[in-house]
Amino acid sequence: MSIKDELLFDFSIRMPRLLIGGKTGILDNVKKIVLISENNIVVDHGKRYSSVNGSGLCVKLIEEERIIITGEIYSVEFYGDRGDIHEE
Amino acid sequence: MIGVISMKNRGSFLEHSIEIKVEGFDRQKLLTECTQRGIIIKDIRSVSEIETIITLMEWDYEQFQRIAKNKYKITILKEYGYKPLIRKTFNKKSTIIGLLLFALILFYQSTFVSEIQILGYRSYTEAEIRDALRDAGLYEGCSKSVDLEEVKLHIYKELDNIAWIGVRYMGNLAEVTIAEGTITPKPVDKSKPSHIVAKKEGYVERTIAREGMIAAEPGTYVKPGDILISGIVPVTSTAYGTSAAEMTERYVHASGEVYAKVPYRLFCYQEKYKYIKSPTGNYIYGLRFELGDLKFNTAKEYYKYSNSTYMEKEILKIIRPIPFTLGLVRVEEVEVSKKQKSKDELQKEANRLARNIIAEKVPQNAQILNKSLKFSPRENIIGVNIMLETLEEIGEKKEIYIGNTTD
Repeated sequence: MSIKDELLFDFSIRMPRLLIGGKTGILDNVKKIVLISENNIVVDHGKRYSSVNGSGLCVKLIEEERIIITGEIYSVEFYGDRGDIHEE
Repeated sequence: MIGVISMKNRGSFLEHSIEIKVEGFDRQKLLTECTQRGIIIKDIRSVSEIETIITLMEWDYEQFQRIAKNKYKITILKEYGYKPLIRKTFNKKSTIIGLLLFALILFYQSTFVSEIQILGYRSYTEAEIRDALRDAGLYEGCSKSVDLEEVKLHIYKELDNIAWIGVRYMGNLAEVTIAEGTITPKPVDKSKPSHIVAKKEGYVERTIAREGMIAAEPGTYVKPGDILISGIVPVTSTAYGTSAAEMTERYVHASGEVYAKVPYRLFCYQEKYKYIKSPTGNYIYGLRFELGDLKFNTAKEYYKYSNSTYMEKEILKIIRPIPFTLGLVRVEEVEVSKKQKSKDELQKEANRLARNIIAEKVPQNAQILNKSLKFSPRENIIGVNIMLETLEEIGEKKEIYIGNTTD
């Protein structure tokens, strides 16, 4: 990754930034919590939304612009401004 | 690359946190607002559509209430952290009293000796040293305020051949280090000339000289230091006309055994009367407590007899955490009457005394040839005069020094 790309990535504070590993997920740049349930957690990052789907999901910590979640994570979805869906 | 989000440093959940139940609709909005205001929330559990349990730090609670306004019902469920724990602990008087008592016991038990370790002994047994230390006032359960200099002096007096003694405390352990002196005479080197001299007085009975010349004939009375077998042997030289002809004696390393009759005169006393204690049938029971230096005996407090016998059965004795002894005591009143001892009893007692005194004064390898007991009655006591004649080996080697004496 070039320096330009890296800087752009670091300063994209209104874009989703997620780290998922094992049964833990860290969601950064959280501006708003949209939904919290056992199967789905949806957050607004400012420009886009991200949704974590799974079972037995639990929010372990909410701090400044960061949410740490635990549970069985099955999939992550990103919702764009215009309502288009991109799944990874 | 994930950027690190800066966090306000306001302590941790370990310090003081509260678990609260929030009841109301649209909880996501409330949580979002908390995030925006920098309130850290953890362990969010959704109980139902309208009930959520969350944990936050105590100092954020006021701000949380302001955000929630009156739209939500908030109930505090639990408090966590060391701050509420300390507050709760010190709010209870019984805990404070318990802690003070614990500290007091801890301090009190540190003023006693709970174990004695003895190091460095060789010829003495550990039990002998322990007994001597007990007599001096140092025993397991005694106070640490015992004068160690007095203890040392007592040990020096009681045990022979102690070159050095050190006592030091390590917590409740008293470490006693002993260095025994060496009083064994240095054996004479076999290559050096020596005499056999008398180490005590006596009449020479027989001499077995292996090397050297007999100096004391049988029947001779010798005193300590007298030569028994001489290491200087006369020479009759036949080397006429040479310098060797002038030599009239030669030096040898004398060896052999010299047995002598050694007389002993020992004296001891015994009671003329024996005392008979007859119980009157009156007795009292009591308890004896000993807590460290504090001693109390109920039987002694209510004691009213002029003559009595004292019996005690130890019920409990502990050293840790604090020395404590509990004993059941029985004090029985007795009438004392005296009766003159019979001749048989006197003889038996005198023989017992004589055996003890002989075991103490006469060497173990001595053979007793004659023994006589002579009684000399006085007003209340009888003196026992013990005359002994033993056969003992009395010779010891002594180096012959030529010219100036050097070691």
